[in-house]
Amino acid sequence: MVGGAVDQSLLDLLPQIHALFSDPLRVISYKWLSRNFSVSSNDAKRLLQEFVNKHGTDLQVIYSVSGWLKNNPQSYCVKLISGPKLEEARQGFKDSCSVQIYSIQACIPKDTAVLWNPEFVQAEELFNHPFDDENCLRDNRFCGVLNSFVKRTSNGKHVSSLPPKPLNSAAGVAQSQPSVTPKEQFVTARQQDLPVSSKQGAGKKSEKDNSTVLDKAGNAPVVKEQSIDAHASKSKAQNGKAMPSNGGSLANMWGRASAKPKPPSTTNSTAVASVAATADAQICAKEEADGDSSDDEQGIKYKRGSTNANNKKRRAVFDFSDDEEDDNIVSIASPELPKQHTPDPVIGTAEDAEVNQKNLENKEDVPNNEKGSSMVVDSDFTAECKIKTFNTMNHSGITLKQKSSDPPINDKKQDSAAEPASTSPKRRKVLKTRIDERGREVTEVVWEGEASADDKAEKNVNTTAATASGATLPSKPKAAANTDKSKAPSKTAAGNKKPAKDGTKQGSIMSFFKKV
Amino acid sequence: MPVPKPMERKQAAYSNLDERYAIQGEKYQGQQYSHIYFTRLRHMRNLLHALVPSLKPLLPVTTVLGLEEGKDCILVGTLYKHMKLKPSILDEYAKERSAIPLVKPHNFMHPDDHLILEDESGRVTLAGAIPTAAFVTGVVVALHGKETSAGNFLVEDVLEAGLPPQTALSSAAEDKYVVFVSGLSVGSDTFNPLQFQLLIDHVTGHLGDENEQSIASNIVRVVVAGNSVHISPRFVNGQTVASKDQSRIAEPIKELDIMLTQLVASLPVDMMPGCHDPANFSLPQQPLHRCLFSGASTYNTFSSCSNPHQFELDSVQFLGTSGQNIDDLYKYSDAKDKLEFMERTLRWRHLAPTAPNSLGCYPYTDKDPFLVESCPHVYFVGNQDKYETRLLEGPEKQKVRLISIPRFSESGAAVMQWSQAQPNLCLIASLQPGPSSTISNCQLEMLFDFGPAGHIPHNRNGKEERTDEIRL
Repeated sequence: MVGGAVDQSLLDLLPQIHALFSDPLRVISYKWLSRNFSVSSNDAKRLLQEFVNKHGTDLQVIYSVSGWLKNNPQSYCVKLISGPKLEEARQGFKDSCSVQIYSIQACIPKDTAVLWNPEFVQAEELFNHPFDDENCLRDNRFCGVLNSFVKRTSNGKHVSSLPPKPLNSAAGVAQSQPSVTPKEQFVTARQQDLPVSSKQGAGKKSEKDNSTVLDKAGNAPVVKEQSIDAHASKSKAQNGKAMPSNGGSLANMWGRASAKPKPPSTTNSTAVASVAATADAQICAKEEADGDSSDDEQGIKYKRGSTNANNKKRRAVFDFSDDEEDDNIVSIASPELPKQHTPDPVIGTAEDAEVNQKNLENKEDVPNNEKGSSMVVDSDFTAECKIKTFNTMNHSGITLKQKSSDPPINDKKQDSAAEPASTSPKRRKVLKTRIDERGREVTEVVWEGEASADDKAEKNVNTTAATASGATLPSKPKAAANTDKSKAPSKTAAGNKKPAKDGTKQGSIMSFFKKV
Repeated sequence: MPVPKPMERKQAAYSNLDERYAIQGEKYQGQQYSHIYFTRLRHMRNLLHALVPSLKPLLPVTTVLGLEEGKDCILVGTLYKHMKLKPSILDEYAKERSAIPLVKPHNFMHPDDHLILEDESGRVTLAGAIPTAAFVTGVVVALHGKETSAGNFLVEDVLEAGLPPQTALSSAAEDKYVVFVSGLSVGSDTFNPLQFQLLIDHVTGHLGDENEQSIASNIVRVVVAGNSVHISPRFVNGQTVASKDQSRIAEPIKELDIMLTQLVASLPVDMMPGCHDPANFSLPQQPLHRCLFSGASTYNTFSSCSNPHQFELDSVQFLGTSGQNIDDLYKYSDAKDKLEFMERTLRWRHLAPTAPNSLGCYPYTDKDPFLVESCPHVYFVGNQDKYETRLLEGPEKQKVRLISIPRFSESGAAVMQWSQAQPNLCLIASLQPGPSSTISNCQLEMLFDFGPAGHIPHNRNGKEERTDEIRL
């Protein structure tokens, strides 16, 4: 770029540049110069120009020429060209092309990477600065085009590259995240208690719950605090702050890869991801709140459960396990409580309720010694899943409640199927027919009294028109509810027996105690 | 001359529409793929049933079992293409012992391929006026024809769903550009870091004078459409990696992170996974994990997105993939160029009809997220051989700019799309690669396309004239 006055302060740098060339291998690009001497890119280019004007005779210069091509008027081209060829290259451009110095070096290297390398080394060094430091790489301060909307989270506590320490710094982390959405905060709250992976670990969820029950005091203030903060600063969360390194990084450790920060970040994305933990947290929060009897200040949008103290022992229905881990099934509530009355304890905020319910059911398993494997699973997981979904949608609450001993809705077949099995201590093969959500009539052979997860026996799928599914829709939730209910009470009755490991198609010892 | 004030980059209202591609909420219960096919058929059938009366008013619509010989009717179902050369898993298993590098996609077509239509009641072989080479398994169409005595269905006419409805664009206030780049392949032999640095410098506005920087200040977004890293296959073949090699796996990603940090410090970047990236294999690929980008992910301008990726910028709808869907179509069908494949996917209203038949896909039970419900304004596909673009127009005044983004490391082009009410304007930034990474081949080139529906003269062919322009 010809012309342009240069500040005297910049000119003072010229001798320094000259000194750099004592190293014959050195390549000085404008970018390197701008970072090294803390000048803007435009200034660096001007500086190089001045330098070349003065000392350019013994140096090779590479220019960047940019403009519209003559022979291809639709193409805007930026080329790197060495000194001798500059004029020739300029001919290919229309008149308004601009020429700037890209770099100066003692001799032109054969490999382009040599041009780029010093710049990259510099960039790498800046990149590796401590996380909190602002530097010219991170804030792009020397650029000719500025963008004031770029924000970088540099709060020291939000270290995203390190795995979060579950217990020690978790409290600190939790409290230093005022701008995280409530959901993420609850995730954090959960993680404070236990370093568990809530996505996979069925059994681990239980630990969380147990510890929650035990550590009420510890939990309550944190949860409350966070909720207050969350509520107060929820608007901040929408502000385009980089979320992920806050609760997101912790959340990520638990597999919430989808908890991305987007400037218009919706609670949905994180909520869906962290539903179960959220639900748990909120349940526990509710419990503690009940205990503390002051949930008004919390601003957490959930409704109080009808029974609070009694909810301590809830039954978790884990229907979706592909494996036969009976640890998952635990009785955590008194079964006689008709949970249909339980209003929606959790899902207050805008969430995808259906997904939530599914996830909730997946994760609401607290290991107990009880191997209630019988309770849950039919052979058609899909159908079960759907049915559960519908069921919970009807109740609009967590499906923690499907263990009434007297289900209000009764599917004759299934009940009758359940009944005869209950009279005999042996497990029995029972035929069950129902319509799943896809309109198919599903007939399954189920070992009554235990999880028939592996029992993918005869399935008579009749793919009648999907319209049939519409008509049978009301019966589906009933079917599901009943299936679960019939199994659930049997689990309760089982008590705290150590569950036998379920092999494939084998009954478990708990089948003795499953009948209602 | 006074020092020019730095320019302020333009902003655009962005909203990410990737929720439909998130698998986080799904729970795998051992299901197979029948559900996704069923959902697809049901959805498309509803659409086709609505369209059929206006096009073929008097013909009855039947199921396959309800076919009567000689009677003209309409059938709606899923196509299955029986291909002789299609690789069978058993053959591949037999060959598994030998070390097989990544298979180059080649076409599995054969003259003997034939189509079969299938719905819930049955299947029927198709014959007649249906171009077998143009269709693939998984497409749902309506067919007008009749059953022959041989038991085939003689097709008279094919009815596709056609382009979906499109929302209107708001009027263009000012010029804003979106840069598409794909196939960076950081860490591969073909990667030229100087070229990538040139692109970054240009996009961020470091390079160039005021004119160039003012162009750069109009860029509001960069979309990286897949295959950003390349990890040497010998590290990911299942064998234990020696400790001295372990850092080599992370180096490309670290380098990419540093480069991305320079980008995100300046403007928003959408990062999509591709088939070579450390993401899941089956579609929809989930966003790359933030831990990979420890530097860039701290910025609010960095978004890790799924593949396929759908977003909206200032009311312009963008939809695109990293190329797997089109590459798979290329293997199993024929078209004059990649843009035609893209056009077909829009007419079939399905991004990846070959999923799950030959393209890995998640076994959804209740939805098919690849169904295209509303027509995008810009439809892009990454990791293709060359840059191509076309403006597709639909019967209801839909206008879609189709863009095929070439692989950056091979052909060195990044595409700049005018993100406003004129989808027929397209800028392309192309970095000319060279046979070897020499200075003579480092240039950044941008092409303007002012034609409404024209192909850009592809300057890859003119490589000779390029290289002798620059001699250093």
